[in-house]
Amino acid sequence: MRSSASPRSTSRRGSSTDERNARHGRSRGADAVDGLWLALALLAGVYLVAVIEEWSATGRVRPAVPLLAGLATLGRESLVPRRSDRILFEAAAPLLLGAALLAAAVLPLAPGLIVADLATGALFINAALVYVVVALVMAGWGPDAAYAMVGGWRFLGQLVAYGMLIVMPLTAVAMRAASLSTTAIVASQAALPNALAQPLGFVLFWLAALAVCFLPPFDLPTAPGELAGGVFGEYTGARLATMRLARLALILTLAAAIAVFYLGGWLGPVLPPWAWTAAKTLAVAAALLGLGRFVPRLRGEQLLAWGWQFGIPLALVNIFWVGVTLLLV
Amino acid sequence: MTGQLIAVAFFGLAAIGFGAGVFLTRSMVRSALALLAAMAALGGLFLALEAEFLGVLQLMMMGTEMTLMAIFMVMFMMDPGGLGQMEMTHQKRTARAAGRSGAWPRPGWRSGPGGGGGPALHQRPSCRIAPWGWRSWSA
Repeated sequence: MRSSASPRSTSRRGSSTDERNARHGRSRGADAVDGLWLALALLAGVYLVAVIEEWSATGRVRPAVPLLAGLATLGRESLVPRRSDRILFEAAAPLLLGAALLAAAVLPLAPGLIVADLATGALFINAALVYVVVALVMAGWGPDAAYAMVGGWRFLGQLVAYGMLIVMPLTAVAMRAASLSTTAIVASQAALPNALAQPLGFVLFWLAALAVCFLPPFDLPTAPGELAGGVFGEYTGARLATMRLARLALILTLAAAIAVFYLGGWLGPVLPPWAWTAAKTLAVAAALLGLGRFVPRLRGEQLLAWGWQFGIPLALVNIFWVGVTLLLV
Repeated sequence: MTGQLIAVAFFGLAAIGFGAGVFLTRSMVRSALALLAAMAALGGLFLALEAEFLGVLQLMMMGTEMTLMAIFMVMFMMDPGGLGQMEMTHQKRTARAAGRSGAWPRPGWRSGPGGGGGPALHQRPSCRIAPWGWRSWSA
């Protein structure tokens, strides 16, 4: 693994890939190798998140279970409900997967090891995560089923609660880095990770990340024990497998986002950069999946009230705090 | 350059196609999501034109707005799924008359300041802007 090759400058904006490669003396072959590593990292990450999810639910580490469960789900019949809105029903799972992968594309695994190093990376991840909501609303409306529809619209309400808590903590992160580029954001945490520099924003973004992945206690759209499966309720067979894969990719993406924006990404002693990113991402994923299970599920109106009455004022306090520390320190 | 041209053409045509889809469906959710797809295609168009910030902003804002609009359309429409075969258009005679009045060639159009191409929009008799708003169809 290229651990220390081509540390990229953080001030570059909007240059094309070819220019970038020419500047860093990199060939298309090197890009292909990078792409292979990134794809492998994604697959391994999703698989490990599936193992962690199994551990968080049952308390046992069984590495073969995701593979076997996935094969079993693929082997089952994939039903299409009567009078379903076929386009929305079919498009929901690929859209959810696409949104998660697009969001992951702007997160660096190591210096230079990133799919798209956009100048607007921290904004782009918001844009990609919005389509998670679109996908769930489609999955809710598509199958012409009451529980699924309730789940889909619930998640739309959940978006109104958590939406600002994704954007506003990231604003403070971008303020410290003086850039929206995700590599610049990691580089800005060399002295102190953002989790310590802006703990309030860290907590708020953590909660919002839980809400984006609809993990407990914010699992309103699926609501096990209450909604008969919710938005996933009408999906079976290969379609359900795609949906679950997309959900795992989403959890992995949000865990990587927390690692990049708040825990210093690839920065760390001794180990190579990619190993730090991987370790932090998996630790965050385990915490995301594990901790929420001890908290009761919030109702939609509680979520909205807390999001707007406490979350947004606290996010403003966080921005103010970061601004003051940037001016004074 | 050619790649950029193809991308611009692709996203432009996709935007037009989805934009037409908004009016061709009876389902409110499909209509709202078709509008979202048209707006997202415009975001892709901005990205293809190397206006990165505009493109990402368009993708982010329209995703939320159009999905929220979908639930309002479902709430306020009597046949949100489009399965009841309810007629969703209205005032057809007025709309037809308005369309004809706007499209009808009028004497004096060719002699406008633009030369052969006809007068600019604000100089058309049917769309003249009066101080109190649009004075249409009467001139």
